[in-house]
Amino acid sequence: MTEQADAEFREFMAGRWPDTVRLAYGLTGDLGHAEDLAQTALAKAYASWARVRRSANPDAYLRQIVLNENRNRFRKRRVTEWLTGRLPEPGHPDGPGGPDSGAGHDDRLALLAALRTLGPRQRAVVVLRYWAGLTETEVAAALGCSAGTVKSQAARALATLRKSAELVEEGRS
Amino acid sequence: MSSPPEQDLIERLDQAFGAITPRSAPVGPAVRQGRRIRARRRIWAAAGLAVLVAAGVYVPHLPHRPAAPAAVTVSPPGPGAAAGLIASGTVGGHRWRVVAERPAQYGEGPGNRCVMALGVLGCGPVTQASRSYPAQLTGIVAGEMTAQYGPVAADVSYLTVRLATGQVLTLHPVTVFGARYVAFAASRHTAISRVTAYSGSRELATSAPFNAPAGAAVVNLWLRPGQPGPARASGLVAAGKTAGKTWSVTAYLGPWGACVVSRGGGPAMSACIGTQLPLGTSVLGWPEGPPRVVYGSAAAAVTHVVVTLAGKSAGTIRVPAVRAGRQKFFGFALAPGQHAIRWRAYDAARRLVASGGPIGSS
Repeated sequence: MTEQADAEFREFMAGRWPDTVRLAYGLTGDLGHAEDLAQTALAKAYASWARVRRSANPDAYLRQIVLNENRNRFRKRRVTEWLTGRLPEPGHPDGPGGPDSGAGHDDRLALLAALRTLGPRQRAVVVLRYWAGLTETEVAAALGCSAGTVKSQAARALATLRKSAELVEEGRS
Repeated sequence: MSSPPEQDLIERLDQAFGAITPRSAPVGPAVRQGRRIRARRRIWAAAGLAVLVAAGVYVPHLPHRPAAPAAVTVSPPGPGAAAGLIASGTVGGHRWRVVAERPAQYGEGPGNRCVMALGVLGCGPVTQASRSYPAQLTGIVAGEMTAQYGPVAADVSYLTVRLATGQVLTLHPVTVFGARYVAFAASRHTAISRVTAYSGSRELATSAPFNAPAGAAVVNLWLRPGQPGPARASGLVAAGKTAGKTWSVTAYLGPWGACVVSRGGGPAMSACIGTQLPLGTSVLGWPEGPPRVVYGSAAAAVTHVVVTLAGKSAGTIRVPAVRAGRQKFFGFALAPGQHAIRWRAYDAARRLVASGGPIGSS
């Protein structure tokens, strides 16, 4: 890679890092995993930088790497995690860098906790459709499914989120 | 269009994710990791090729088909071009044009100028470019395109614009109605990496635009060759729920200076302060709401700001000064019918550092 391309990538990464971590956080629900995922995705973007920078939409390219890496993460986790009969303590997003302070703290925690109750596919649909602002067609292309599947997954996810006790309570306030 | 529950979810997700402040970007480790990945790929590719050659398989020339970038063309006005045309061209094959309107055509007063860019008319005071600001660029977004246009200083021969796609545009100033202008367009999804102004072959200054999360890039701070810009940092300054609507203020510092993104009742708004840091204590903006989100910068000594409210829910509120990189900021929101008639900034010893007001009254 030329020095100029290297500098371009460094600039690209510095600008995209916060939102890449946020996307990864939406997919994983854990800030530590999210930062690891974002770093790996950006490392892969570096390895393919010539292709990324030539693409029509480098941000979409990076987003796709994050999604693929997240899928790989689940595949890898299958052999490293054991099922137990007891539910573990849910991860708490508090901690350095987490959404742990400021007004609306409880609201944010409730929403993030509710998001974690969704399956990986529904969580990805919610994050891409409602946070990243992609259309149903774009989400379908990113996740490799049909627009109809995106629509139904989004509807189910919204229904689950609405059923969440914290969100119902928030909705009433 | 989103339904109300969806809109509520969008706002709340924006709020929740906006509150996440990751550690600083691990650029060095990612680059090293990327180099290792690339090296591994080369080894596997070489091994695969060796196997194919050993098996006597003919390897045809592999077609190289990169995804087509949204290529940008910029053309200056040719002979017989419409009066006021600054530039035109294409973005991914779609045509664009930026035209300065005849002065006073829309009733704008002296010192004001209207420009039609991508079909959007923008009128405002003509800020003269200078040695410190070789180009005063205004950005707009329309559909899938974004455009930047504005006057350039007399000694600027041309500008180069580096897009995140790697394409570099060269803009030659065009004189329209007595002022020298440049303009270009790009895909709204393409970040602008750098704008550089030249006088002859000499580089005058470079600007790293703030590519706002929503809206057009902001070309704000120009740095002379070798002049270091502020270090990159970002942080959530304030967030909450007022009158049933979530709002937030996030600060972004970097070579573009200091920029603040406020999210309230309407679309996200970006505002940049075109000076070197650190900034003093002052209110910087209060975009329309509701809720009306007010934000400002604070000197290093300031720990909190006390705001005196009038109208509905009169009283005082205490707002913390929050550090983002080398700069402190503060933010709060006003409900409909509420006015901030005074603000006072204090240090840790409760000494008054700065004050002002009223703000946010319409």
